Amino acid sequence: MSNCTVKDFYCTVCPSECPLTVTLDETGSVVSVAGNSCPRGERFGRQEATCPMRVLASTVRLEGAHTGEPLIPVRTREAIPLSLQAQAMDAIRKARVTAPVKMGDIVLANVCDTGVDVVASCSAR
Amino acid sequence: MNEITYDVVVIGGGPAGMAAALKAADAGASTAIVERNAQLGGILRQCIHPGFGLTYFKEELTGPEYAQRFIDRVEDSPIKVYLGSMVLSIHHDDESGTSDVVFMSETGMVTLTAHAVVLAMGCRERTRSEIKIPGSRPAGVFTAGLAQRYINIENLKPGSRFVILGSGDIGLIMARRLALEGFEVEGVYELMPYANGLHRNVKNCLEDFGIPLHLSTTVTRVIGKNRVEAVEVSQVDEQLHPIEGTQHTIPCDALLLSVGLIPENEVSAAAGVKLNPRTRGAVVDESLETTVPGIFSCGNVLHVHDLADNVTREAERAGAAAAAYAAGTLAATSESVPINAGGIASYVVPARLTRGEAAKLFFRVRRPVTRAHVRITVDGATALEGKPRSFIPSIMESFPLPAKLAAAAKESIEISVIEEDDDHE
Repeated sequence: MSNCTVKDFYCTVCPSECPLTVTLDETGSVVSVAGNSCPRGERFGRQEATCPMRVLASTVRLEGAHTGEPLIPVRTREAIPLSLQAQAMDAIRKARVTAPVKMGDIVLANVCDTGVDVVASCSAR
Repeated sequence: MNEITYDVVVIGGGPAGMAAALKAADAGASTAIVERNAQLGGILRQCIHPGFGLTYFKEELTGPEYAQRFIDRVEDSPIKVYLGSMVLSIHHDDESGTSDVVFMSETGMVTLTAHAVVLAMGCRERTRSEIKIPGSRPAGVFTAGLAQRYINIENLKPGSRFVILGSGDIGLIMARRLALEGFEVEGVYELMPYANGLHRNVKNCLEDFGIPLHLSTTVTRVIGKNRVEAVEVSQVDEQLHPIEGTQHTIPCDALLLSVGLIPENEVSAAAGVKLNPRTRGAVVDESLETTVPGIFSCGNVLHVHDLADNVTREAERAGAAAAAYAAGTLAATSESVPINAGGIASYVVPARLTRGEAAKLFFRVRRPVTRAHVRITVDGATALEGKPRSFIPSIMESFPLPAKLAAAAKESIEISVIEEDDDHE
């Protein structure tokens, strides 16, 4: 047990925010997850301790909106590795869209080869 | 001046207003929303981060997505939406039982006559003048929500090197947003000895980016002539007073304030709605009706929520009650029984019962405690006690007041949170 690493953090799956304790062995594999009160918490604990994933949200330059708004909010449709956030931000910063846009429209496909699309978070006419 | 009559007029087109209006319209009430912005959605339009909808939609949405779902529903409903329309006054007429809602729009002044009104105006941020930070008055001091609007809606850059005062959720979320956009965030400073935001935000917004959180520390001076050049921070003692000798100067060109929210109730107060000095929201009963008959309140204008999902649920109750009031089917009121907060509970909503009906009591604690329990007292006698657990101020709590107790209460109801010793059985 002496080579085990213990990571303590809060679960962010739901508003209950259970405090989790994840134990990893010397190879970095998860040995146990404790403190969760549901199976989703267990899954989150395993993922977070080995490869944390985040939904990334930002804005993209919008052209032609009749409201004159210069930006449209976007998000990665699924969570992507936290380690790729900065790289994904660079790609999102270069993207442009033209109105009309509908919520869920793809703004940037397969961002950073994650297999995840960046989509519009709202509609713009 | 135009005059139009509706069963229910909802003031505010954010998450609370849209949910209230949709419920009222569902119940068959002719319904209008009056919104001062050019679009529906309220503050959610600039809250581009995820974390919304976890309980209401059982999936994680961003603020604009959460809003868009309700905007789409409103657009598919018979609800009349007045945009770019600022409500100036509400006048309740005791004789007719209706209320006149007067608003200003591009086409001039309009009066809507309402059988019931739902207040859903949300809240605004506390500013520098409310927390009285000494020093000069240069440009570069913003509330966190204003900086959020600049960056997420208007495509403006409010600064390059930021200090954030206050660990409320908006401050934490802005720390991440600034970091993602490549700005420097020197740190987040918090007066209290604990973080004020949700754990998920401390984790995902600060820890992910290595942004330090300095507890029991506050900004004691703003330095700079035309533009912020630096701020002075100091540690504080247990009484929250700055400790002499601990101050140091941090070069920065912007200071963001995330130091609390205030329900926006000027119009409500002028209409005669009684406010709770603690929440600065309306005193409401179990139907979310204020002290003025037929005027209901919900969402952040009633009390500041931490989750939009809870705002939606509360607003749906207010919308349904307003529709029932307009239709004459809401139960008649009887003697009012006050509901008070005790122990370390700082407030309770609703603050009174007027129909003797079951209610969910919402409250917050004043400070974090590791072990405490809820006690409901009816007419001075303990009626119900909850299981011991931990409580923190950043999470709004609720506890059910069962129908039997609500009906039995004659004089008063108290909900208290009683702290227990860790060793105590």
